Amino acid sequence: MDPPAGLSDDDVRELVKEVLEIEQERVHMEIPQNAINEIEKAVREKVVE
Amino acid sequence: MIFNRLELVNFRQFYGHQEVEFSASDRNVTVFHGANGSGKTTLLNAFTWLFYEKVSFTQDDKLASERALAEAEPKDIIEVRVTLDFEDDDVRYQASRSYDVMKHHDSDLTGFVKGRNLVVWYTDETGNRQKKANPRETLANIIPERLQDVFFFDGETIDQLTQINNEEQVQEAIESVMGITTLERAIRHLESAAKRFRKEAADKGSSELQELTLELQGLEDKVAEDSEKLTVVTESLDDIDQELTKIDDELRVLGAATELQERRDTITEALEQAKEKQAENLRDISEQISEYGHIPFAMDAIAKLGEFLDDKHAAGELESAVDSNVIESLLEDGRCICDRPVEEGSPAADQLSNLLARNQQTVVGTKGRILGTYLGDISENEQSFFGNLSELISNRKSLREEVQKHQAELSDIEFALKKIDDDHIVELETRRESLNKEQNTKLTRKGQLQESISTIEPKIERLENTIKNEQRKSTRADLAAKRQETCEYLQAAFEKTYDRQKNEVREEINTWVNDTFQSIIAKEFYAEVDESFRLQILKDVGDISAEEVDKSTGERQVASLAFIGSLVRLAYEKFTENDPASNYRGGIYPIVMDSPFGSLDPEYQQKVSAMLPQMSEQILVMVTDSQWSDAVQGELGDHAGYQYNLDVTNASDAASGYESTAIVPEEMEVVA
Repeated sequence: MDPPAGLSDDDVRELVKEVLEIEQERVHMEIPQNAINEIEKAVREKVVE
Repeated sequence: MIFNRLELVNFRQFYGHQEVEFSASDRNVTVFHGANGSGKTTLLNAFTWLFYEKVSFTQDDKLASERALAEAEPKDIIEVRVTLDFEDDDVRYQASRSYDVMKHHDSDLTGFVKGRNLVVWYTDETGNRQKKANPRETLANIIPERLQDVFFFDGETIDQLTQINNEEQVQEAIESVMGITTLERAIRHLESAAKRFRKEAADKGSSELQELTLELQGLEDKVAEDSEKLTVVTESLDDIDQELTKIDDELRVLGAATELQERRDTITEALEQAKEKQAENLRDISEQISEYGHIPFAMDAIAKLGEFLDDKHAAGELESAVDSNVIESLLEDGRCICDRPVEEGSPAADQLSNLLARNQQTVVGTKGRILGTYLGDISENEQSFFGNLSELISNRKSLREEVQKHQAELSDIEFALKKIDDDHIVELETRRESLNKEQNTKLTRKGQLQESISTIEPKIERLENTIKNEQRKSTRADLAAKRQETCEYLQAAFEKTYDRQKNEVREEINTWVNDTFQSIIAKEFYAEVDESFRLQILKDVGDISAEEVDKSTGERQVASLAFIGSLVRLAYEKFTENDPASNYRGGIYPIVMDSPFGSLDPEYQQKVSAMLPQMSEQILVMVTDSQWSDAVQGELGDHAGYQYNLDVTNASDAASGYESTAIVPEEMEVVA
């Protein structure tokens, strides 16, 4: 499976790292919605017009 | 995680305020021993009530101490509370759950819950004590509720880990303990984020796109709803299976029922085999019909086609048995098959030209002749179709009779068991019968839900593709769609890693599971978690194959203990290695065990007690006085940091007139 158009392998690696960090922090964030918000933000920043 | 101290206030028979400390490190075992009914299971329930507000008592509304209620005046409020001090990931916590129970009237010994409270404090990096905003979530993250049977377990039921259909619990235990749940959460959250972007794309796209997205959402909600129901039905079917197995186990050893139960085992097996053959027969019938079933209906048309070809043949339109290409090449080469020259304008050349012209003009030509040869095959197929079908239908009839015969035999056995002059056997059999009925209803429901899901899923796939095409039409919708696609791509990548890691841990843990199991049980058997995460007990048959064996409750219990111990040990190892390159976080987990020896015989009890201190950094074990034998004390004594006696004061001896238990610390032997 190829990365979505416009995303390099490095972009994907960075996003994977960010998502993992968000999830590992989640226990302390306590509200599940926060993790989804953070992931959404990270993807918005990486995938731009 | 390490438990430090537990405080009980008026919790069931633990009247008043009582406290216990737990040991860890070198002397990592804390022992509670007492007579039957002294409160061992209540102590285990104190943990599950604190963490999940769940207890396993029959009267789960009776949490307040009867003695405390008896001493109170009507309208007085009694505090029922469990408080636990523990450490997790270098953070100190104090969790406390309490009920305010009001006494209604003079003889009220149950009370009414007026208020519920759960609070979790933690000490932050600066040493300040802070209150957790979401205490329930905090506790659920530390030990997820679905793992309560693994970490707070009742020895009488722990063998369930090796039961059929328990792969889910085994898998969840592996994921949770090894910290793989991080990946599982990432997958779920990426899916939610993808849905948000899909909605955004819909909002920014055409009205058609919005409608399609709404439709998709509706279908996804329906699948989620059905899947949830399916999980509930499947879980309850698993419970029924387990209870039925237990009843059968019990009937097998109850003298008066043994013979009938053994006969039932044999007939049940024969019935299962007959049902399998029945299913196979149905598959064969449906295959025959789908492949050849059209033939009898087409025979009229085939006969007409045959007549038509015969007419054509009679009219000379099918007379050429030679392909047009062959005639063309003869004319081109100027030589006949018999090697005589065929010169242009010669009678032989004219004859070949005429034949070629007829072949090309004819309606049916060569294809008609080929079709003519197939007609013969079709007729033969018709004959064999009827022959095969009739044989299959006759088999179906005899299989149906066989199934009915076995079912009738089973009914007779049920009837005979219920006629035995033994209340317990009759009670077990009656319960078995009602479980069977419930099982049938739930199996039907399960089938309906599976059918519903499998009908909707292809529709979802088609809609997703239509939506993707629609999204590309709008630039703004396209950007949101790209973000959605990115989330889905990441989700797929995480899913792949997740599966790989689960299997890596499974393989790693298997060596320990088996070593521990074999150190207690005879060497000819071994235990393993197979590829579908079933914890099995196997025996080698031949050089290359092994088969699952139906072992006793005791052996299943040892396999379950070996699994939990190995998992906790591996998690500890990964946690202390703290290898930044490792994908597993691991962790430290205490194990709380009520009656870890369950139904084990004395030899196994001693071997298991030798294994317990190695299982985890912290073990809390509750045993009956009879199990707290010299042999068990000999194995556990050196590892026990604290030892408590659950001292019961019976109602008849108590000044209050109500039974209660005091947790009394005992002097420990000092080991040089």
